[in-house]
Formats: sequence, C-alpha cells, structure tokens
Amino acid sequence: MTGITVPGGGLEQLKQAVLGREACSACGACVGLCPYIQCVEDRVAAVADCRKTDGRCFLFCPRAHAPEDPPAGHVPQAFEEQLGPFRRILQGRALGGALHRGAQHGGVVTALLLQALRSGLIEAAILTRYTGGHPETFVARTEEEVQSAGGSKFAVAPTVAEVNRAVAHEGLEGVPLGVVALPCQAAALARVRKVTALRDTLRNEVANEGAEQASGGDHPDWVERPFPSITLVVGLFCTWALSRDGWLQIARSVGGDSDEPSAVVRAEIPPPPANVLELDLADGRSAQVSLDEVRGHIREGCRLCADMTSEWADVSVGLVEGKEGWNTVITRTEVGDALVEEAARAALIQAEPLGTERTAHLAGASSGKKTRARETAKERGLSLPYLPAQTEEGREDD
Amino acid sequence: MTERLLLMGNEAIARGALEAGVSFCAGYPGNPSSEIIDTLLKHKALWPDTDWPTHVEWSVNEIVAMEASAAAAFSGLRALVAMKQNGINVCADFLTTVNLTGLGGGALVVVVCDDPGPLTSSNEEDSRYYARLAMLPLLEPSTPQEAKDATVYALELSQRTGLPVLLRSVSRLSHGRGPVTFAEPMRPAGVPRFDTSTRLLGLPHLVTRNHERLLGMQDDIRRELEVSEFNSFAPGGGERLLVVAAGLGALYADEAVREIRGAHPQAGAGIGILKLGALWPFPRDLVARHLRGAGAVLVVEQVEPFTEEQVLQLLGDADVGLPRTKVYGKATGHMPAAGEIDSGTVLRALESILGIADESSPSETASAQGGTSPAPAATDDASTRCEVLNGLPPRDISFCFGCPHRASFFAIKSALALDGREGIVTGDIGCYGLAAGPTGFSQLATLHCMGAGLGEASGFGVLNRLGFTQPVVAVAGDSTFFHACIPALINARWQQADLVFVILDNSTTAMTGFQPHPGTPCSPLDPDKTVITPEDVCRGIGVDTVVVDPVADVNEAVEVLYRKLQEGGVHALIMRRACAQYEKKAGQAGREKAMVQVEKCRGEECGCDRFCSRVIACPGNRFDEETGRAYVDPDYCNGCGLCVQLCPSDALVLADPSAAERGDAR
Repeated sequence: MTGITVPGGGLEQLKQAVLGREACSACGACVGLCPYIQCVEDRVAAVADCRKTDGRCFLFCPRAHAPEDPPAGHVPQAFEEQLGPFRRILQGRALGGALHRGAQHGGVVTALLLQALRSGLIEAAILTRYTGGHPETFVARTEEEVQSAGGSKFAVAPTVAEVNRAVAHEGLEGVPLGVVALPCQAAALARVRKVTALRDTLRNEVANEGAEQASGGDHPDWVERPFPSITLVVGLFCTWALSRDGWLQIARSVGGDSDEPSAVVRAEIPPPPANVLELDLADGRSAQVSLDEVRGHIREGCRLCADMTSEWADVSVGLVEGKEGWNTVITRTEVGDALVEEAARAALIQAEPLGTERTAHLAGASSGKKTRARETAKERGLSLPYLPAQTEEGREDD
Repeated sequence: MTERLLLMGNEAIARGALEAGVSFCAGYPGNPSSEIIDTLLKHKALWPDTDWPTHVEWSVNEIVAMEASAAAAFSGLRALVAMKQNGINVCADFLTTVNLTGLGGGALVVVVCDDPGPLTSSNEEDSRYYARLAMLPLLEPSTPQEAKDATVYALELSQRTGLPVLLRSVSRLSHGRGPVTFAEPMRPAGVPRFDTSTRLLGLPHLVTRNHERLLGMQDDIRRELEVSEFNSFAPGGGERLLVVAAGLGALYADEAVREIRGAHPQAGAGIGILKLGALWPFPRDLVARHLRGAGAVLVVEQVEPFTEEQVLQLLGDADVGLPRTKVYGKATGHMPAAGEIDSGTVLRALESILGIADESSPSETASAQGGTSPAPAATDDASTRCEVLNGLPPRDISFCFGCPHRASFFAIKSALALDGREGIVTGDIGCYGLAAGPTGFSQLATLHCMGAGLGEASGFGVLNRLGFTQPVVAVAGDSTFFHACIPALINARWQQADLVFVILDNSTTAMTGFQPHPGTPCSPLDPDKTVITPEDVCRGIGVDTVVVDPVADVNEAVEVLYRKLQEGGVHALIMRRACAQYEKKAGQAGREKAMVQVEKCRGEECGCDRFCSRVIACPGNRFDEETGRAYVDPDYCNGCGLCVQLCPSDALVLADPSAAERGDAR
C-alpha cells in the first residue's frame, strides 16, 4: 500500500544500539514518550521490558542512526567536513535591551529567541536555566522567561525530554516551538523533524486511501501519537558536558562554607592558555578549577560525540576565541539564516563575517573533537551508525 | 459453670494461660503464633474484671519479649511468651543462659509455633531441639483441649522447677479448631517483687555449677513426664507394629490406623499407638516398655526426627537391653524428612511397611483428605492430583491491590536501572518478601531472617575497598526496622559503608495481621501510646534520612533514591504509605477509584504495551481483550493512583464511581 519504508525498531533495539553500550548522550529524545524509559539528571534507562518493535524512542535517537542529510538544495562550501553544512559563518553580539546580566559572551542566543518570539516564528521555547545549582529545562513563553535562561551550562539537562513532556501533557502539540539545543539535542531534534515529516506523509496516505485503510493498516502505532512542531533549533557549541555528579563535585569543591551547588551562579571557560573553569559564586567570590580535573568528570556518552558546533541546528552559536563579548554564529538553514538577518535588521544583534583565519581555527577545534570521538569509539570497540569512518586520513573504521 | 467452646489451638493456649493465673504475656507476631497474644489483647475487655492484673504486650522482638517475661517470673509472677520458630532463634542467647540461672520463683512458658511445609516462613525448623540444647522441659500437645491443658501444666511445672518450659505447637494445631472445656480464669496472686537476696547471674565461675544443677534436675523431671497425662498408649492387640507419634502426629497416626483397620482388618489389628505429648526430658522408660515386644516401630512427627533419634538411641543402648527392632521413619524414607506430614503420609508409610501398598482404595480416600504434602513416591493418586492441579490457571503470588510496596519496588527497580551499575537489593521476610517474584519486579537478591538485608548490605557496603563496584539497597519493613535493623544500621554507619536503606513503612505489621509496633502512628488499643519514628532513630544514629510517599509521587521516589545511590555513606530513605488493606479495614480508604477513560486509552495502539495491566500489574488493572482497552475493576481498586500517574496517555483518572453512576442515571 505504501511505497515509503518505515524504519523499524523499539526499546529492545534502542537498548542494543545505545543504552546498553553507554553510548547515550542523554539528549532526552526517547524520554517522556512512554513509562518504560526514565530519566533522572543525566541518566536515561529502560526500567521494564517493552514488546513493541517500532517506537519513537528508537526513531528519535540520533545515536541509533546515520547522520542526517544536508538541507535540500544545499550548496557545499569549504570547511563543511569539519563544521557541517552551513550558509554563513559570522561573528556577532547582542545589542541594547537584548542583553541580560547572565548572558554569556555575545548574548546572541537570547537575542535570536526574542526575535523569533516577536516575529511569530515560535510561540514558546524550551530552554535551560539553573535552579538550585542544577540545570533545569523549562517552557518559556515570554521575553522575561527567555532572558532568565541566559548563560552557559556545563552539565547536561535532557532538553528533548521536556519537548516530549510538554507536547504530551501541556497542550503544546501544534504550537510552533523553538529549542536551544546542545549538538546531541540538535541532532535528536533533526531526527524528530524527519520522523514528523514521515508521519505527515503516512497520515496523508491514510487520508487518501479512504475508509477501508484508515484504521491504521500497516502503519506503525506511533503515527497517531502527538508530535512537536519544531520551527527553530538554535544550536550551541559544545566541547563536552559534565556528568551531574561531576558538576556537583566541582561546584561543592568551590562552595566554601556552603555545601550547596547553588553557590555557583555563573561558569565559564576562558580562552587558552588559561586551562581553567572559572566559577562565580553567589557570595560574590570567584573560583577557578583546573580543566584537567574538570575533564575527568566528562560524561562517558559525551566522549563519543563528534559534533562541536551543532551541525543539525538552524543556526549555531558559540564563543569567538580571543574576542571577548562576541559570538560565533553559523547559519545553516534558510530559517536560521533569515532569523539572523531579521535580528540584525531589528538592531537586536550586530553581525559580520567571521573571517577565514578564525573559521579555519574553529574548523581545527571541531575536527579535534571528531578525532577524539572516533578514538574513544575504537578504544571501546564500538561501531556507531552516527559516527561514520573518517576516510580522508586513511583511518580504518569498520 | 463449665463452658465448652470451639477454639483455635492458639486461642486455647491463651485461655490456658488465663486459667493458670498468668500475669505477664508478651510476644512478637509471626505466623502461626500471632493469635495467642492477639487473643489475650482483644479479649482483655472480656476478662472477668477490668482491673485484672495481667500485662499483655506486643514487644519489639522475640528476645525482648522473652527477657521481659522472664523479669515477671523473676518477680514471682507467671509469664508466657509466644513466637514462631524463627523467633526462638532470636531468643537463643537468653534461653541458654536463663536455663542456668533459673527463674527465681515465678514461672515462664515459652510457646513456639512451628510452620512445617512453610506457609509464611523463610525456614523449616523444628524448635524442639532447643529443649534438648537448653535442657528444658518440652510439651507437644495434639488438640486445642490439650493445648490449653498443657499450658496450665507447663506454668505449674515451670514454677515448681524454676525452669522455663517449652510448649511446641504447629500450624495445624495453632489454627485448627477443636472443642475446649473451660475452667475458671485464675486471678493472679500476689504483688510482684524481686527478692534482692536473689542473684540470677551467668558469671563464668557459676556456670559449671549451674550446669551441673540443671543436669541433676533432668531425671526428676523425666520421671514426672513418664507418667504424664499427655503421654498415652492405645493398644492394637499383639503389637506387630508400634507407632510412636509425637504431638499432632498422634492424630494423623490415629486417623491412618483407623483407615487401615477399616480396609485391612487383619493387618490393622496389630498396630498400637504410643502418643507422646510430654517429650523432654525424654520419657525413656515409658517408651522402652512399649518397644519391648513390638515387631517393628514407625515414628510419626513433624519436621525433624527428634523422637526417632531417641527411639534409636534406646534400642542401641545395651543397658536397656531391648531386642533388635526395625525402626521406620524419616531415616528410612517412610516419612518425609522435609515438608509437612498429614494422615495421608502416615497411611502410605503404614501401607508400605505392612506390604499393602498396591491396594489403592484407602490411599485415595486419605490423600483426598490429606491436602498437599509431598508423597514419598509417585503414586496413582498423586498423578490424579497433578492432573487436577495442571488444569488450574497459573496464578502468581501478588502484592494486594493498591499495595504501596508495588510502587516502592518499581521505584527501586527504576533507580537501579538509571544508576546502571548492576545494583543489588537485599531484603528479608514480610509482605515485601514477595518482591523476590514478578509482583515486586524480581528485585530481591537475598532474603533470610528479619533484618538480614541490612546486615548483609553493611557488608556489601564496605566491599568497595576490595574492588566491589555495585551499589546496594537494603529493604526492611517498619516493624522489622524496630525488630532487627538498628544494630546493623549502627554497624553500617560505624564501618562507613556505602548503602541506601529503604524502609518500607506501611505503618503496621501487615503480614501477621496489623499488629502495632513502636512507630505505629495510632493504635486503636492504645491511642495515647508513645510513637517512636524510624526517622528519629536513623537521624539519632547520624544517618541522613528522607521520607517520601512512593505512591503519591513515584518519580520523586525514583529521583531521591537515584541521588542517594550516587553519594557515599549510609542513607535512609523511608517510603511511607499506609498498607492498603489496613486502610480498607480501618475504613480510611478514599471513595475514589481509578477509572479508564475509554476515549483516551489507545489500547494496543498505544506505545505503552499494556503498561498498567502487564508491567505495574496491580490486580485491579485489567485489559479487556474484546474491546482492546484497559479497564479497572472497581472491586480491586483502593484509589491509590499509581496507575493514574504512570499512564502515558493520561487515560486513567481518579473518580468516585458512585457519583459517576448517579450522574449516568440522570
């Protein structure tokens, strides 16, 4: 009846491919869809056996599938091997009222979200903020809420789980959503968008085939389940994220008299050669922790990540090394590119080309992360579909 | 006026204590013994007058119950302590020292109810060996009437000898009913007073002397038991076969012999039965007299070959000079050496010994009456029974509907899965022991005696120093917490173990019938009682303690447990929610019940794969194969709301079904 191949896989397949191999990035894509997968902090686990052989848990997982294709009609450019498909690479910073005390570097993420809210591109955003010293994901519907989430987070929060939860239980199905995502989460949201498109196709087929087929036919059960309408993914640069436990240990180690991680109000890694994590504490003090110590707390799943610049977002934002107060901005899709343009026109941001030298430097850093991920996978004897072999250097990954 | 009533064995023991003028009764609940103290407590209002000077208590555990009862005896009173067979092990240290010091003027009867072929025990134990070990008198009645009479006699004997006297019951006597003739309750005499010139000291230099004194008493007591009314002989005429039967075994032997006599008058004519109800010190003269001239002997008793060993010893004793006689019993495989016996097992043994095993008609009759005890060998009637049993649908043993343990173990399972380090759960007995099976998601890795889970966890919890990487969760109920967990918790804290201690606090001693314990918020028996909470005790030991309601918010329970597992040291997590059955009994369960909104339940098309009825599997959660939708049986729902929380389609709601019905009617 249908010419479309529906990829199959359920919880068992997800366990075999990802969860059971410590390859999970805790993006949260499989969480909140059913009671079988639970998530606490940065841990995701199957808590009972499910007999379903096709489910969104498996389909949404970015680590169980090959990387997405570039957007249709995309024209490849130099450095895409290292930085993923893009349209423009810029440096920018927020202007005037878009800025917030907690905003990191250029404040461009907050500015872009404000523009997206004002233009109607999104009606709500799924963001992360610090609550009690822990990153917490929440639904922001106002400009004030968007501004409350500024600043870098160094521990993982399962952002996509909040998307699933809000769609299933908070009536956000059909509401245009923006998400600020780490690279793993952006990759997951690309999967979600792809499966959503497939769902639309299958639903249309059912509608066109008439009543005798409309009962579901050969279509998987998930076709009738709620899906999010994601209209914007702002990707963040990410070198690594810490485990919640690791973050807690670091925060406590600098907390002074207070044993609480809430003592930390801001965290930042200054450019090399500092090699430290700088922490601002609630009592006004600052503290530094050696990056060598910090790296010991990187999540196992993060060591298998090859994406530094959120290659599957609409627009990616990171810092500009050596240029305080500015962001690197990579526009990747038509939507992302237009949003940056609009924000500049609305004087929410200032943007200009990053320049070849800085772009080459960024590509080098990104390439380094890819190499480290492949080495980790090789050390652990893992063959992972999202992490294709790097052939140009003659490396053999079979 | 003499009353004659139908009583359970345990009720008869309680009545016997009253008729013997008991002043102090204590115990810790445990099947099959619980009704003894329950009866004394419940019937307090019915006692001859409200100022009747008898103290009755549920103690915190068996050894405390025994020590407290002994103190009453030390003060000149008559006391009774009751427990199940596991409980006597808890008392062993005290029992094997108080036997040497003696009771100093009062009386103490130790009632131990064994659970052969256990219905609710973690072991199968013959408590009679404690009589031999501690050299204390032992009675084993066979009927409720005898149980009452034996209790009266035991208290008198104890007072005369200054020794604790053991009284052994078994499940079928404790819970079986029989006619009991009452005598008047005896008002306890005298005011308790401890004679300060008395010294009850287990000091090393006194031990040998006291041991010798105890040994010296054995013959006198034995001579009294030789002629005890609890021992009797029913001759068969020209004893071809002598059945020596102890306690309840005598009833089974009597029934089996009648059966044989009916079906095989000739073979049955020569069987005599020597019934032993006063067993220790062993009435060897009585038994030897009957052994002389018996063609062969069959020994019938519950659990271990306690009597059988004595019979064999007598036959082997050259000074007694008995002729060589064949002894059938557990050693020869004629009686089962494990599991419960009944008249069917005795009948099969008799048939085998008499060579009439092939004639099946009496055997079938007996097995139909005989219940479920294992046959020594496969027989026709056994295979018939198997056919019947195979026809029954399989039924897993399950937590009750609405049981909070279901939520607790789902939370434990989830937290351990999230932790991902192959965590283990150590536990013990109690309703939550069912968590070893599917109803508790097969979480329990160990189950031994009360409190063992925490002691084991204390050991696991320090093994990380030797390279152990698995986290450990110990579980115990609230009553068990007070009974047996506190030293282990102190040890774990002292040794700086890494563990999470989950106290499954359902606010009662649920499994044995809702007896109160020190943490029970309100006892109907004593509304003003002192309440000692587990959290106060834990915090007093310096253990970080969090209280959650696992049913109201199962996700919170998961998160808290997961976080505690990530931290070093000893943590207590109290999962507190009242027992669903207790709430129902107390009329406190809400009117609301879970209901499936049919339009929202997606049935087989939902990604949940029947999560409510298949995974959570509360008996109230069902799946209607015809409509392809989940439903809730309102008769099996106490409205706890666990399934409501976990349904991914928000299809379950809590509602008042009677209100809904009224709404429909309009």
